[in-house]
Amino acid sequence: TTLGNISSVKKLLEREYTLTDTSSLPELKDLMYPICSFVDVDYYIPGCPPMPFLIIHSLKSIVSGKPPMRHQSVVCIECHRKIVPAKLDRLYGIYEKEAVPELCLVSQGFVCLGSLTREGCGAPCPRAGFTCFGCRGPADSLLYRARDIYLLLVRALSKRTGIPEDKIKKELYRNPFVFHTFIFSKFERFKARERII
Amino acid sequence: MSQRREVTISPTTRIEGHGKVTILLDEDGDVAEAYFHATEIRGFDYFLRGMEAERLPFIISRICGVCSTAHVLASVKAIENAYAMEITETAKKLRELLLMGQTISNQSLVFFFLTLPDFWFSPEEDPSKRNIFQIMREKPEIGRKAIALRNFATQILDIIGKREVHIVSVVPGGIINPLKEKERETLLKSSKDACNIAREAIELGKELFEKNWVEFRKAGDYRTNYMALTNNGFIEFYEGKVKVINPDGETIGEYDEQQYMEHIEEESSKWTYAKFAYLKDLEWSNNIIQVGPTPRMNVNKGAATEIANEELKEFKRKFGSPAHATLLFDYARLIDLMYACERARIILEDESLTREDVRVKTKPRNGVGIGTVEAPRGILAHEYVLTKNRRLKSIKLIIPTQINNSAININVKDAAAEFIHKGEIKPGLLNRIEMIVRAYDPCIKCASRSFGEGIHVEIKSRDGTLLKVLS
Repeated sequence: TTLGNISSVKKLLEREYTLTDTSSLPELKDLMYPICSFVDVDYYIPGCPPMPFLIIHSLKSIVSGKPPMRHQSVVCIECHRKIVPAKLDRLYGIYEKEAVPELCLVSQGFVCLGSLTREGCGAPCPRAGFTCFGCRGPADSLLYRARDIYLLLVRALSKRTGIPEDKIKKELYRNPFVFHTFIFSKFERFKARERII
Repeated sequence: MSQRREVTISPTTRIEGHGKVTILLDEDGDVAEAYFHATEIRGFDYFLRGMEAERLPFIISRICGVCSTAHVLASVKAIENAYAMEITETAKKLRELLLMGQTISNQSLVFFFLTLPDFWFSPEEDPSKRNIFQIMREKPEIGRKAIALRNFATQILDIIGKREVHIVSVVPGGIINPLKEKERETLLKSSKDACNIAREAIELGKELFEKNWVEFRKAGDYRTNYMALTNNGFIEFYEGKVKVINPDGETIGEYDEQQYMEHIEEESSKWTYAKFAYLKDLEWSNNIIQVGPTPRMNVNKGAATEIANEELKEFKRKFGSPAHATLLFDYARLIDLMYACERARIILEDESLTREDVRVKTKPRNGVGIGTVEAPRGILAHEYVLTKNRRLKSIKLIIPTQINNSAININVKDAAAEFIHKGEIKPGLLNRIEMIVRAYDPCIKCASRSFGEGIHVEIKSRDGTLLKVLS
């Protein structure tokens, strides 16, 4: 259940510890709860792990009495890669081919979540040639109820690769784990939008 | 005293993850059983099924923030093994360098921040003072050196792995980015300083160890089997053969990395969420194996680097081979640290490290893949079964702490027996138990892919009445 309540505790225990009596151990909760259900949170620094410089900057501003600088846009604006619309016939896994260094990873057919993910990390992964997997969660503009994140990704992929939206939907559907890092964003949406650094 | 009682230490402090110790007392108030619990569960083995193989390494790295690099490397090696492919020499060297970075980072963390306060202060010292911050107040340069050493490790991970924690540059087929000459020079320069600091750390460790050795020896001295990776008798981290020796130092098994999983089995238990791992070849009565720093010293006869080799020889001279005392883990960890720093320097001195042939094309196929590396706490192995369309069908992870689990429990039980008689608990129990648990540096997060908090001890009667809590 740690990675966003993907599987129920009951199922997990059945699979892993079938014949085991776990009564002498702490009981497992049925869901993972965000910390804001128990304490008031002043600021969130998302990221897995949060970038060291973000922690330093935020602490410095808090100590000097100013609110820390917020990052509201998407990772693409921090990434040096050029977006050039392409004509591809399918999506690629990141290990399937070598990425061209200057070109946008999505334009090359990789499923990079940079166009949805909150900036502020300095885009280390796409800069290194690895797709962004969204560890900083969705950007501000996506934290509204009306936004369908999945559809936005399909559109972005389709626009940059030239593959029809239907085909992209089909290919993405086969991989259920694309958005696992965004799962908790629904908790954040209304409560905490203004407090994400 | 007609009741049976229970002592609990929860949370156990200064370890990585959340642990708890329970000691059960019998009718006379003596120790009946003692358990070291993992108190959380995360279920990686379960929810990863169905995941695309290529997404595995970076999700698996999230099992642990401390040893993420070792997990990534084991994972990538397992996938490469399933795909039946070989990577280039340059990529291998860069990966070994990453693993050295991981080792330096972890061993210096454990020595300076987690165990040094145990050696530095007497057990009677106020617990609020027994920490690295008090040491830094007394001797600021130690803190500075500890941080410089960790800085070097982080630099390696940042420059080659492209992120400080949870590296992204290692992929099946090699490494994404070749190393630039300028980066090599920067790292080489820092590696020389790191070697000097590691040498000072080892001297400091030896001095404190000799001062406390009589006391330390009492903390446990068990004749068990030992297991580690070896490269023709020399310490090896990235690839080598798995060798098992018995308490007398005789070899009782030597397997290829890929055979390893056939010999090891997991078992769950009702009092901990961490599973136990044991060797199938050994009989139950004799099935305690230890992995980690001391076993690395016991299994191997030498180290490929100069100073580490001398230190290893001295270690063997002083404590015999195989050495058995539990707290020697802390000593051996320093030799690891020395080796890792020197090895990193040697790899970085090689100019061919900046060659561009770091990646080969992968040809996905189905099948079983096994990857083994020597993580800071011992042998880490990943086994994946992949389906035709590159999905994960089943997964088996053998984590060092799972193997050490039995040894930790026996050790804790004996320590408890020494301090508890007829229902009376002598002072110093909490401290001793924490030191033992800390020596193994259990990574609970990994072993249960789940386990949380520091240590506290609860003493309970058999019927569950809580008698005393130490924390």
